[in-house]
Amino acid sequence: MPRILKYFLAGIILLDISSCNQAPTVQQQPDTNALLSVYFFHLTARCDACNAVEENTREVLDKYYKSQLENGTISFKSINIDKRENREIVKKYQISFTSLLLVCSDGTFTDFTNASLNYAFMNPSGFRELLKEEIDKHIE
Amino acid sequence: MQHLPELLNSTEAPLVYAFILGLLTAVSPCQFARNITAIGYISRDIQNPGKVFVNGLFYTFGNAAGYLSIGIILFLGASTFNISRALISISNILIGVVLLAGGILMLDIIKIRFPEGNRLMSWIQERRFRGNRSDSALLGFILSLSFCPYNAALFFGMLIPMTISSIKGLYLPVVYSITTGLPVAIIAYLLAFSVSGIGTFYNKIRIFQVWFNRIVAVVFIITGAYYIYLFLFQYFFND
Repeated sequence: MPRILKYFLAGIILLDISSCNQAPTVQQQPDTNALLSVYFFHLTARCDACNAVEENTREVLDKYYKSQLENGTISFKSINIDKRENREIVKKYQISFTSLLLVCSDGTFTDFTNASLNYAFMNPSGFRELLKEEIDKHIE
Repeated sequence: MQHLPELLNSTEAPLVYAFILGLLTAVSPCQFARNITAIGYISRDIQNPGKVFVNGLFYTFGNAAGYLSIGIILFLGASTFNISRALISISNILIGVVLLAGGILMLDIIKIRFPEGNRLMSWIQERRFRGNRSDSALLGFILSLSFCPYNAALFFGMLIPMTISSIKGLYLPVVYSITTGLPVAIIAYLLAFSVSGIGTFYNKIRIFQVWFNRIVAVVFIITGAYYIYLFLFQYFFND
């Protein structure tokens, strides 16, 4: 058991050192022309709480921000973290698990993950209110 | 349950915070399935409630050791992104292989002949996963390194930031793991306790145990195969 532990620790540390060399230069440039981009990140395996976040986010956007979605002021994207094609954006925002990001046009972003995971599943209406407030703050 | 998120937002005490996160994890379906697997494993020697409880405790220790070592590695400066990415992507294959191999060994239907002189192989053959303390601890350790999507978000997104903010936070993963793991020990104990009561009454406990162990082994094999399928799906059919 201790030996296994040692190997494991060594492996993890090596893994981390080796990936440090790649120098993640995060250029915070917006990915779209939208004033606000809403990114929902998920893994291939989904959980109930994660699904609730996506569903409720879509609902809020469809209900209150339909015109902005249509004229491109707000964009929404659901991104699978495991897919190769999404590697760049996953690395850019350092996302490894289910997350909800609100990215402004100047490249700054709000990580709305914790609030959304806490609320979306157990208190969906509370989550929708919080999200609406947050989006309003960003597009003012 | 509905009020847990509010409680989470209002609490200032890290201890309570870690405890609530542990509760939220323990009741999530994915973790629940893992807990049931663990209960099946540590209560294999169901004639003996005391032993089952001790195994449960060792399972909890192993679990705590796993979460704590992740906490320490991240505290020492490793990047949360790299570590969580690596652990989440190996989770399915790790747990799948462990469960499948454990199930096959527990069933004891395949007599594998290992080459002589290989220490690791003869060690495996000798032990055959009999369900003793160190195996339970090892199972707890491995299960703690494999993450469901939901508990990954809770652990890396909420618990780790508090844990690594200062050295005082390093006890938080332990609190978290006890909250997620201790129910396993308690339920296994209650199960063994009640079954052994019935068993002595009917004097059929031996037969029951043989079948119980077979069922546990089959559950391991099915769950293991499912996780391996998930892993393959994730890597080969997803691009």
